[in-house]
Amino acid sequence: MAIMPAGRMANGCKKGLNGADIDFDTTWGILEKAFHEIHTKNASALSFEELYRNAYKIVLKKKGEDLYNKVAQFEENWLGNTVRARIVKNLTAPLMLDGTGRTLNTQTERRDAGEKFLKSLKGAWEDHQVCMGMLTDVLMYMKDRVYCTDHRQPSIYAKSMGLFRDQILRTPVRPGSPNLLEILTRIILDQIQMDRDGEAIDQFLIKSNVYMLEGLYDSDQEVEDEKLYLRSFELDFLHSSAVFYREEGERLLKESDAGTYCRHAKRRIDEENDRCRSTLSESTTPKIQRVVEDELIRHKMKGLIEMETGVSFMVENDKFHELSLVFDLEARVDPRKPELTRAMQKLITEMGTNINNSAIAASQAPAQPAPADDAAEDAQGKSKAGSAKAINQQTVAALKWVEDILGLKDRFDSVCKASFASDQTVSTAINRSMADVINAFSRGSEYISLFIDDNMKKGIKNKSEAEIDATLEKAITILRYLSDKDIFETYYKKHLCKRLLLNKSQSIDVEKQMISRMKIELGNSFTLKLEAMFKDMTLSEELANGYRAHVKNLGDADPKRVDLGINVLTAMTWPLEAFKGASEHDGPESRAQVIYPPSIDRVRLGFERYYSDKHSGRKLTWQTNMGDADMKGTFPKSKGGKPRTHDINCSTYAMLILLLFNELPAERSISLEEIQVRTNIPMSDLARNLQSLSVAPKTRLLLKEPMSRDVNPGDRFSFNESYKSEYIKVKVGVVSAGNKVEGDRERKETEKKNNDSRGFAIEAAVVRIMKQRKELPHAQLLTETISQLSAQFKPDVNMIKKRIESLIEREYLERIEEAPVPSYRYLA
Amino acid sequence: MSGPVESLMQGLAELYESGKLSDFEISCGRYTFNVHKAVICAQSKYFHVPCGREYAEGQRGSIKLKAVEESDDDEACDDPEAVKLMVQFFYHLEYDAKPLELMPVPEEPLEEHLAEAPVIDDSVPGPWSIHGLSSRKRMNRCKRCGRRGLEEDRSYDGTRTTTTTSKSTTDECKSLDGNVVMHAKVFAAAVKYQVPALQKLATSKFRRAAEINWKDSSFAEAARIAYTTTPECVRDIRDTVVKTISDHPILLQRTSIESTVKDIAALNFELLHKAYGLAAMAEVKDVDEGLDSLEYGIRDIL
Repeated sequence: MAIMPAGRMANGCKKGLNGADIDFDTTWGILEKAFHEIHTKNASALSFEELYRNAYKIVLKKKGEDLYNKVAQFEENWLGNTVRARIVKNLTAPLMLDGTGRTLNTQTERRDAGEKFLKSLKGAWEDHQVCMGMLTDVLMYMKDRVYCTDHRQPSIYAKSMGLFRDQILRTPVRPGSPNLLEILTRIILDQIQMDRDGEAIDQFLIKSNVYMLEGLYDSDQEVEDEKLYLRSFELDFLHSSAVFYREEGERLLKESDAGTYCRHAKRRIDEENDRCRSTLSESTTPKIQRVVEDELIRHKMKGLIEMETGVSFMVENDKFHELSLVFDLEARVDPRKPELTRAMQKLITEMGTNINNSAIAASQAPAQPAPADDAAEDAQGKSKAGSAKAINQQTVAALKWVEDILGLKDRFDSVCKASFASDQTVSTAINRSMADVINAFSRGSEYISLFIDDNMKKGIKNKSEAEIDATLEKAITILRYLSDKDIFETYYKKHLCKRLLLNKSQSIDVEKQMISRMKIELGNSFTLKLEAMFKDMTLSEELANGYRAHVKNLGDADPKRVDLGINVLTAMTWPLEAFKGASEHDGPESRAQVIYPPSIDRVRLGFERYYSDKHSGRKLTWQTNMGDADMKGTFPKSKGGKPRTHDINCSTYAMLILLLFNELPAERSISLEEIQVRTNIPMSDLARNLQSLSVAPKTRLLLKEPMSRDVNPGDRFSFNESYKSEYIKVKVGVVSAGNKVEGDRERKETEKKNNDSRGFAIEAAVVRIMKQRKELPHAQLLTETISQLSAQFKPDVNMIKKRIESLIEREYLERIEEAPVPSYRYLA
Repeated sequence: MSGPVESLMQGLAELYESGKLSDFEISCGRYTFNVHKAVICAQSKYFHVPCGREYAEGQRGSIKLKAVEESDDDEACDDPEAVKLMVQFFYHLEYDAKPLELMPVPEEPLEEHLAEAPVIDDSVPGPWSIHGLSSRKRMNRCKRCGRRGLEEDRSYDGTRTTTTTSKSTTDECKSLDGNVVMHAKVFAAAVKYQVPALQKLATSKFRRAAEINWKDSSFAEAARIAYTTTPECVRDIRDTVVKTISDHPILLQRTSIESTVKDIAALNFELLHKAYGLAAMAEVKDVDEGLDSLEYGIRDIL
């Protein structure tokens, strides 16, 4: 029922409840005395039955509110006088701060005094809780059912907790000075600071006081998120921690190295977690963690990474563990690890650019003897002319570039694995940077192809299958990053062509393995032409065998007949220009027919007949510049006058030249011009072959006059009857038969050709798209074209635009005039 | 009849009868009970405290509940009989009130026209209508039924009629549950000692007893107990008193009822309230505090 005004109560009770007030006073007197006993810990002599009965009687007499007020009054007095005095007494000098907020006393004094204060507060709080528990038992009815719920008052327990807060914590020690709550907060923060500095403190004591703050509320409504702990202490704690860690972080960045910093930050975070558990409240854990992470990591990450001993130092010195610390730290604050990722990308770009630059520098360096220890150096190179050496130098640079790039990738892969737990985000970023580095290098495609070429020719010799596998995988790894795959294809075809025709490849099996790997990696269309080359090789072998059998069947067993080995190459598939030297580029004589001696011509015509019987309508073009020949040579004056025979292997051109001397007396010499006229060999090829035959010391089958390094007009040549060699078999090398880095002109041509073929590819793609879509806005057409071609190369937007223009001119497309955005229509 | 509940009940009954393993003692007036802390504390929050160690009772291992007959007793003291029934309830989840005759209630003859009124008979249905006439003779007849009321309560679940007939032939019959006074006292004890289950049981027993025995002179006594020995906000039994009186306004002509109603301001206010067809008391309070002033006004007039 409602609160009844006292006067009216007396009035209404006149009749039956006479003397109720006197009765109440007596009963309260009994209770008050008992409560005093309870507060002084003498309850064991009291009868609970009597206390409860008396309290119940008051409730029955509807004096519940009076009782509530009396009890509250009693508590207020008790706390405000007795308890407070006891606590304030423990507030000794070392705890009272001077004007600057710091005490003048030593830390030990401060700690001891603090602990004494905390103990007294803890004691007071615990006593208060126990006493109020006991009072609540006695006043069970008043609290639970009758009084409080009816009148929307806090329960007497909650009320007394509020009294504790107001009387003990919120009353200033003396007018104008801070209250106990502020002092308490300061003492706890001070002790925590000692703990952070490594001093032992009584954690449990602080925890008890934290329990108290968690048990008290800002108001008597006891709203859950208005705990005193949250409202006052925690805020101060977080704030002072932020200040502390900000300073500590800055100091450490200046004073220590990055590894130490990481370890320290990690330790601090763990410490704060432990502190929350052991000293404060678990509910603070996420908040303080956030503060420490902010101050030690989030705001410092950039500085940390850029330290002298930061990430680039760690990568350079293989400090995997410390890198993993950095990673862990940043992963803690941001799953995307932006700073670390950026740092790694920057490093890769830097190191990659260095590799690219040094490759360019090496390829452009003036020709000089290759370093003796360079394994990739071609052994033949030393005997060759200076220009050949320069080209070789470039090859070396190419191989070095590939190895360096692979090294770079391996290095970062292992960092990623060992330190970043193969993190997806970071490894993606690393890959992206690798791709950027590789594609930033204009000769990447050529160099990768050269790397494969070198390995096919020499590298895989004497290697186990697993090692070969690893090498192939390396090549594929880099290839994956390459965006201009069409350029790579051009180079690879060229290099493969030479390997196949000149029998330079160590193993056709490995070649085929490589092709099938590329097929998996780059798709079917990419390897189509490469496979066609292999097919031509197989077919040619069959053809040559067939022809040989055919000749035998003719019954014409001429022992002197020249044996013919033949490779029939599909014109479109093979990049035959690879065999042309830079100097004979598109010269008029390159088209001229070489003049064959009759013995050779017979065989040639024989095969042509055989072939056109088999495949009518096909035209054979003889690529004399690519052939080679085995001959027997007899040198009458070799080794002290004794005649001696050598098996000579040389190019077809060299054979034609040598055959000329069969018809001449031994002493006769003929001039360069004469040879040219009689063989019709292009001049540059002729010069090179003559150089091999008359200048190279090991294969000096001809004598040249005058004796000089270069072949000049007017030079005369004669048969070297006294040629001698320790080997029966002699191979006449032909200069520039191997795969080398291209010369500038060559490269320009390759590029031009490449751009042309790209143009066609773009046009084809555009037409394909437009045929299907009929009408399309410009932007969308660009996007689709780029995505269609991305497997082959990254098309240049301007080039696409030009191609579209050209298609419009040729009336494949037209512009849609009325469209709101620029659009095209397909014209069937 | 050997389910887990039955075995537990049987075990508890045995412990109570034998006093075995008893670790606490409750006494009140002439009674002393050897009880088990676990059993009583399971049902009463009150006993947690004396069973603990803080107070003298805990040290002694016994509690003496002050009985009404003792010197300077008051409304907060207990009737030893009610305490006995409460302890019985702790172990049986049921209690047995003594029949009305055994209560020292002064005889008060009913006025004749009440007994003759057929309307009253109609308003009380079933076999209880006979008992409901509440004459001495009928009470005696009831006596033969013996423990019938108790048995009936134990089998709420629809076997009521069969049990009733079988018991009525075998046992000495007496409507124990007709004892409104004792139910009111047990209710008061249940409230004071915080035994919610008992509070509920006593309320329903009281309601049924009031339906049967509203004419009995003891009803006035019961009404007084309800209004003086329980806190104001505990409505259950008070509502029954108000309902019974307003259902049978004829009661107001009785001197015993008259003096009770006159003595208790809250009761006459609530009757007035009911007579004007206002909502039940408990609800009014929650709805509007403003009505309080009205309440006081009316109370003052009365």
